Amino acid sequence: MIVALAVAAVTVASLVVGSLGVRHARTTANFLVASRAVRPRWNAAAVCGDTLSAASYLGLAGLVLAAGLDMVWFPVGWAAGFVVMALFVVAPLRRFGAYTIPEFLRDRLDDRRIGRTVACVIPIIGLIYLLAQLKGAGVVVEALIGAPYWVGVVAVVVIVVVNLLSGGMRAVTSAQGFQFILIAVGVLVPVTVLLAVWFASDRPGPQDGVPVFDEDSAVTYAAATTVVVDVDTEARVSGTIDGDPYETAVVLPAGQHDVGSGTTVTWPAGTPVPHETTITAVSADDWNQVGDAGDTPGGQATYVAYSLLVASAVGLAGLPHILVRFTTNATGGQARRTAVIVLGFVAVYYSALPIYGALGRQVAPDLLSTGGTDSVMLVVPQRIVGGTPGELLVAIVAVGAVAAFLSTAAGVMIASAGALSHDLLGGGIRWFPHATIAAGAVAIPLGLLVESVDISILVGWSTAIAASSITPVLLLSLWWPGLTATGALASIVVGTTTATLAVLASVTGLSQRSTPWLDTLLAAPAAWTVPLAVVTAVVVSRRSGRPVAGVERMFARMHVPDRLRPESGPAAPVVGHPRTAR
Amino acid sequence: MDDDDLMAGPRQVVMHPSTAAARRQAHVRAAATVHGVRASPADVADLLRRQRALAVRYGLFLLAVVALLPVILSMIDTPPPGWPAGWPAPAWFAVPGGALATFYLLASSHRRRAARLEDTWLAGHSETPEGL
Repeated sequence: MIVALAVAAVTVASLVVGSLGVRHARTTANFLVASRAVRPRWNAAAVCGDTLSAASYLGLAGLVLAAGLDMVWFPVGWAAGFVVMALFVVAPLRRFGAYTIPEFLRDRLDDRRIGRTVACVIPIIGLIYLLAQLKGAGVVVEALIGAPYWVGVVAVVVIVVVNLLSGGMRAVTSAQGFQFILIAVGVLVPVTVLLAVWFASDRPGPQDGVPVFDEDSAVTYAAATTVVVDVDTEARVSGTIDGDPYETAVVLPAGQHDVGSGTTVTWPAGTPVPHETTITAVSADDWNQVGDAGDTPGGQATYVAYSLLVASAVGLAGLPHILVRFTTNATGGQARRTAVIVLGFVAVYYSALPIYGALGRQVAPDLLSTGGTDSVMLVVPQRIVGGTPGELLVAIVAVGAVAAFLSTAAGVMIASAGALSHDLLGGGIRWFPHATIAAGAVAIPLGLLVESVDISILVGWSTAIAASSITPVLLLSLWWPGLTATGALASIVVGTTTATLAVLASVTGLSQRSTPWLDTLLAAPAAWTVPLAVVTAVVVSRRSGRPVAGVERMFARMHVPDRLRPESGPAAPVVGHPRTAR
Repeated sequence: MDDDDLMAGPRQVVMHPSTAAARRQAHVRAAATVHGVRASPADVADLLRRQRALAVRYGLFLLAVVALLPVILSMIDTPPPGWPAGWPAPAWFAVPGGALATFYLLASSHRRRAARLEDTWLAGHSETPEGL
């Protein structure tokens, strides 16, 4: 009850705060860049609200529970992505003055094809990222209040669309800043209490080997699940196993078993925790160290680690919904300051999240059996504290989770709707409401389809495409005058195609039919697709003739300090925006 | 086009970003006088080179940190003996936490140096308009 009330409260509060942030949301600048009046600290909070999604909030703790130290590559890579943004992207991008990424690339390269192509790629990246948030919403609402999966999906889309229609980026900025505060509280307060309780009580230390049940444990499988039992085990079953109904003790031989929906199995103390088939049983030694080759595709753990780092670092720097947030600052210098503040926030946040996974391995190993590792943050407080205080902690975590997927979904929707309305349909804010509603209408059925797809797969796919398509062209256009429209177009096509095909081959299992190395390369493609996209851009640009006319003016716009004293002069000789100068 | 090409040509006026945004509005577009900034292409090219060198230097440092992290972690073959207070080895938290703190310090230092570089450039930048 407490949890349901908390979820309802945060939903209403997000709508109210968003509406309070709206004053005069009528122009394109209001809708897409919040009038460029957002201060660094508040924008940093909004960037964090945008970035810290359901995947990082719930997914990371779950990944650490299942696989251990290998999974810290994700937060390290994401944080490295903000360093890349601070060093190379945010200041010149803001100084250029474009509303959206397609508009920036179109004007920088003086080619409408680029703008349209990127405006098509951005909604694809955004949609995949949005589906991860919808999956998180469905799972959380289902776990917390017992509502069907579709309720969470539909509710998030409706709330976000209403928020966007009310005031675009201005409304979203207010809501995301507020939601980040909820996210930070949702992570830091419970983990502080849990650590205090853990250290105050005489808890047993971590077990060696694979996790085992330390007492007789009744595990209920809400959905049909296939589990791997490592040793012959006599367990009490209430439900169906391998299609046969039982209400008694059964000897389950080592191997795979199909557990029916709603079945409760009481595993005896000392039994190695049976693990769901997609989860590898990891011993304490392997869980606690990096580079465990046995559980990585193709067995090339070091390559996979580097590729994950590239995908998350370079991919984050190319995620449109995060990039556009930095265009809401007043100056390039403020955008750079915003990125630094973001790094301070996420360093604390990402350091706290794995602790839930570590605690989960001690007190909630049964999640490895049901496959519900994504819910570890919601389970651990009850297992360690219990009672009403435990329920309060769960409510705080739940509020943060709801805030996480609401804020990220809003950011992704506004970036996608902005690209569609401003760059593809060319109608500015006239088409913004239509694009927002269309994006929501497409997202709902697809969100229902991805119920069985892992959140981390969806996020990995979108970051791999962003890393291979947007980031190389963005970095080169900001720092290399020689980039041509043809070179950029070739790079986007090659990067998008190779990353998408590699991910599809991996997701469909086609890659596993090839050699181990090829399997590895396809499962973690960023380490080769990103360099390939860069090389394509450079080679094609060098072969496709002279660079863009007036490139020196554009570089002046991007790199001249904000503090250069403005002067007035006659319009004709002034180097203005490429479109106004034409 | 090479960077040297940026140095060619007479002084030009480069719009202030807020002016550039305002120019999108039709009523401003029609105005006879605009608010902008003056900068020599040669000065801008020099500034670009220095900004790029600074960013690349910090980028290489970031690359070194990121590249070394898997190597350092893979050298921890086994957890250290004894898990303090029943907790996983300190390296488990210290190494990623250390990397995140390093990232913050890196970006913070770059921001300060980039601002100083721009201040220095502004101090040496002639505000005397030419060719207008």
